[in-house]
Amino acid sequence: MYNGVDDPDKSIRYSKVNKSATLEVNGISQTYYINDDGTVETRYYIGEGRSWYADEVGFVNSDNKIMIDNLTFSQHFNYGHQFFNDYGALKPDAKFEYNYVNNLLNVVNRKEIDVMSNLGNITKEDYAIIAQEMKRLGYDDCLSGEIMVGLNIKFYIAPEISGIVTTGELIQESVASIDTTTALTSVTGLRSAKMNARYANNDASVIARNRSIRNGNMPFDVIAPIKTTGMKLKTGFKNVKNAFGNVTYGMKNMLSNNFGSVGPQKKLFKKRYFNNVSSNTVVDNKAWKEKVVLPSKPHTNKTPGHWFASLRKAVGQAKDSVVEKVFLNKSLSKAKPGANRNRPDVTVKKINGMIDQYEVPSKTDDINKLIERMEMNQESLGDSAGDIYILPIK
Amino acid sequence: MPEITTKSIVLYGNISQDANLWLNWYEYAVRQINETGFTSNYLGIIGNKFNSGKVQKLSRAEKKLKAELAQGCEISSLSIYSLPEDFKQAAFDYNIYFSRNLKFKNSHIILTFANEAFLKLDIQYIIDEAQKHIEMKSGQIFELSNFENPQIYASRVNSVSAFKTLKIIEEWSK
Repeated sequence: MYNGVDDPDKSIRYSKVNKSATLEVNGISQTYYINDDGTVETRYYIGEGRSWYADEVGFVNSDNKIMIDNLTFSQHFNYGHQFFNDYGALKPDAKFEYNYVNNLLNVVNRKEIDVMSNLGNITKEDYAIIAQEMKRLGYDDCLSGEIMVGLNIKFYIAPEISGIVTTGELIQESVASIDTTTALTSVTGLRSAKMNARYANNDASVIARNRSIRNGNMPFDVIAPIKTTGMKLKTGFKNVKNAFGNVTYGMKNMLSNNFGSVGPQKKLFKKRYFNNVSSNTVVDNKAWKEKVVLPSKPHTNKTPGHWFASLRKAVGQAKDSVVEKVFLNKSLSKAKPGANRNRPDVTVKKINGMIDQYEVPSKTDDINKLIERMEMNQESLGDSAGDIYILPIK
Repeated sequence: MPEITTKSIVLYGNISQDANLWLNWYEYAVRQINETGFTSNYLGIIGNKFNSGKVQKLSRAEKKLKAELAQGCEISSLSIYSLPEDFKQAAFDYNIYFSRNLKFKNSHIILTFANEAFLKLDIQYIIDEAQKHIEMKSGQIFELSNFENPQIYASRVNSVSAFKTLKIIEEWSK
């Protein structure tokens, strides 16, 4: 049984995410993630703490528009938080509703169950019946929410069905204008989506060719899409080398410039957008660089590759639209005034105020010591504390 | 270093600060790793007499560990690694990793194996033996990439959704 401490959804579906869209409706900003199978997820923060949960809230229809289920939207935006306590468990008077989608288009079944006192009162049998039906329809593996009895059940919380209100329609209208075919789904970036569709290609060589490379030099900008497509760097190198010959210059350029000026190419790529596949967002070439706060000199230790691993993570994070600032080997107090002065290798401040930490372990760092240190940092960050990660030197 | 899939057994519950029990844990972990066909060769210790935060060769650290425990040294974490000779980062490169962690909340024991090593195990036997070193309240068997680090997951410092390769194979509670 779930102990109600952290993430009630336990969803791991973000691994499938390949696009995202951030919407602002009625002053509330919310990011939606589009899965490979066309389903749409989002995450909701519970209270002011670090607890949050992810939930599937809609789908991409045959016209490549994101469709958010009215009920879901209404629940989460208008009521959702009322039905969870600070630890993500259901409040006693909440009602429980579950549904599932058929062909990712139509809600075909919907039920409602009173939760008499707590989650434990929903029987395993109730879940088993629904699970069986979902399995029959072939959706058992794309549903999330293994909360109580270990069955993979998708569920929604609502006070009453009549609570579905017009706000649900609002978001549909907003979302309907997003063209997902280009993978450039930031609402604010829509204007540039079609204009730059030709750059939204996972093939490094195509990206480079479109960029009119001259003098055999690979500009800094080309490296980013190669690195973020999930291809191994070596492969990316090979592709570019085949197309343009000299690859080394670009890498040197990257390291020596530390995201700063890229010389003649800067003008060439000014105002051009390209797709960042890993973070699923559209960013201005210059804008992401301005998010990165570098130390006065590269942080070094005896572990080869330490600095580059930090740098790699910083670049990737800076290109994510949900990230506000990335600090490399800078005091936590830079990210949040009043926090301690420990210096994680990479500190990522998101636009929702949450702060993630990344450490690159040295050869002989004991993982528990790193965790202990980052936990202390989390305490120092208080409500802004995000997740902690350690990074391999690839 | 390659990204590999690991399988872990984690047991949550109460952990005693008793020095003899830490010693028992150490001896059990070394023995169990060796029985699995790997060599336990590095130690990670956190305690009031162990502040380096670095793993040390077992052959060098064992004597100090025993001596400090005999003098009442307090330990909050004792990890035993089986690392290859040419490892680059102990945090990722281990073949097997056993750790007993005393925390304010979420004290736990974790046993992590590279996938191939896990396949050869008698899981029930391993769990039965491991729970002698913790007053177990709940447990879990899960799969996770070594790059996402099972120890971070087991420490419950992150939201579960932060782990993209996580597969929970089995969980139970008393």
